[in-house]
Amino acid sequence: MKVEDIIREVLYIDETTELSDDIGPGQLEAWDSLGHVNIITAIEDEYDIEISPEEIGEINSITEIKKILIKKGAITE
Amino acid sequence: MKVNSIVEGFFYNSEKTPDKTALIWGNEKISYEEVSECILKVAGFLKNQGVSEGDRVAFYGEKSPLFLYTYFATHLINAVAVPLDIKLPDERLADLISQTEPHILLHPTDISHSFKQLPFDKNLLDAEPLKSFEFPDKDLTADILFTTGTTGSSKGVKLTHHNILAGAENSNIFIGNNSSDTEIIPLPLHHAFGLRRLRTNMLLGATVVLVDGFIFPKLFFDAMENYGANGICMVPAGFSIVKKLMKRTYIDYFKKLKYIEFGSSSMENSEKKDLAEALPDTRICMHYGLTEVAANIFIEFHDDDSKLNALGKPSPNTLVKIVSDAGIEQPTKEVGEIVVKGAVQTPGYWKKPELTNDSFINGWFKTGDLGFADEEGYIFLSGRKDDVMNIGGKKVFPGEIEEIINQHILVKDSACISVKESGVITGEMIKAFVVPENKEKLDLKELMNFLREKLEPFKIPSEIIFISRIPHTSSGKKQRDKLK
Repeated sequence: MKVEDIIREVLYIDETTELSDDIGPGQLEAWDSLGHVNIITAIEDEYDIEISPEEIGEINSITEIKKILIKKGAITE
Repeated sequence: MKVNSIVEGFFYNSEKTPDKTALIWGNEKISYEEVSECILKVAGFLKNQGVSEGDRVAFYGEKSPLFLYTYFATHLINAVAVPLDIKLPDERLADLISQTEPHILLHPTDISHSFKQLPFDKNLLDAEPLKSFEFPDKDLTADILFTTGTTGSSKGVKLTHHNILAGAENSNIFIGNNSSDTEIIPLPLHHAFGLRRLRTNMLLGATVVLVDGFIFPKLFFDAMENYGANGICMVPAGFSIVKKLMKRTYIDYFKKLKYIEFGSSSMENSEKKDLAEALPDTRICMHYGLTEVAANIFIEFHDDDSKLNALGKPSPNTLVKIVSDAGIEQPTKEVGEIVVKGAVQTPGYWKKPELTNDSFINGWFKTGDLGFADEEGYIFLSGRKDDVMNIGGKKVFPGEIEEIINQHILVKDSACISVKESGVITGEMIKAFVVPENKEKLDLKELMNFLREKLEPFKIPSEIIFISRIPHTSSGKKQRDKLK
């Protein structure tokens, strides 16, 4: 599943809400702290990886999530 | 020095320690003197707008230094502060404004109302500073803070300067923080807990670091490393988020804290015990409180380690007892309603005399919570007298969510319950049962979008289940218990 699809599913966001790469935590009403935890957990489960606290601290956009996944070999550029 | 209001205490500190940092916001450090100058400018602005004693000033409750300036400026001119949740949907915002009839509304959202509105921005600081003023009398109304009512309509809790001063002093005595401390406040400032922590620190002459919520907990650790922050206030749900995002690393940082104040909501005893063991030198305090009577019971996880399932004991200078429906004090271990008396006690609700009357019994405030006391004076919570849910420390009535769900054109009926599940960050989660008019046409995501437009985020159900009928009694009352 694509990162955007995971986010849509976790946050109950339909296609009418645009999810560009620069969107991040705190920028959508549903992407609050609780939504953020749920996204991180869903991504860890989906790609079977662990995201470290340091990496989580750097996540301020979908781009950063994708960078982490590329670094861990979970997705390709 | 004895003061009659928090704002008087703030200006006393500003005179005494003008160069001391009062606020840290991002990379900006703002001294007591600088804050006092900004307060005087906003006070000058409000005076120019014709605000006078007793007028309501409703303003955007964002986390920023401007919030503090506006809050204290309102008090300084003896007006009444009405801080508004920034996430209020338009309809609810309009309700609060029409209830309080503010002389001025400082808010970025232009909604339909008949009151003077100006943006909540730096223009407030352009006015000439107020030259002369008198600190408010202790019995004047300082704030109107809104909490949820059973029918979906919010109720405004009036708090006098005496109430908020007592709330700050009592919690300081219990927690033991002082002017040399620096506290991280990630909680919203329009809400009773976050606002009390802000007032408390400003009264002491301490420093606060304002952090925007729990979404970036690394900011807490930065504040500890860069600014020597040694205290934090949080709700258990926020703490769960910190733990999930920062995993075990949070312990290395948190064990350097002098104190934590938790707001009371669901936290497992085992978690309290683990936290006490992991942070042996930190004073870990948890309060039981309501906007109407502040933090009126406290527990400390080390001192009270044998009674961690209790709410705790009454706060300093506060009386708490358990009474029957007739107001008679219950014997030890007998369940009754928890009632509170003391200087923190609200004089009542804004323009709701009947509700005010119903909320007191023989001069004691009725919390609506059921509990009992043990032989050592610890108070235990048994449940609620009504169907209220506690979602991450915030009270939510099922009726108000159901009312909104039922407004959807494809919904016939609904019922909401709270469910306690281990691992749920907010302690309890809202589960909504919905009877669709047409199951094929009602889309779950579309319904969620509909709710997001009309409800604050913490009131959005975590789970929605479509069912064919909501159980009712013969008299038509919803039987929510049958859905559990």
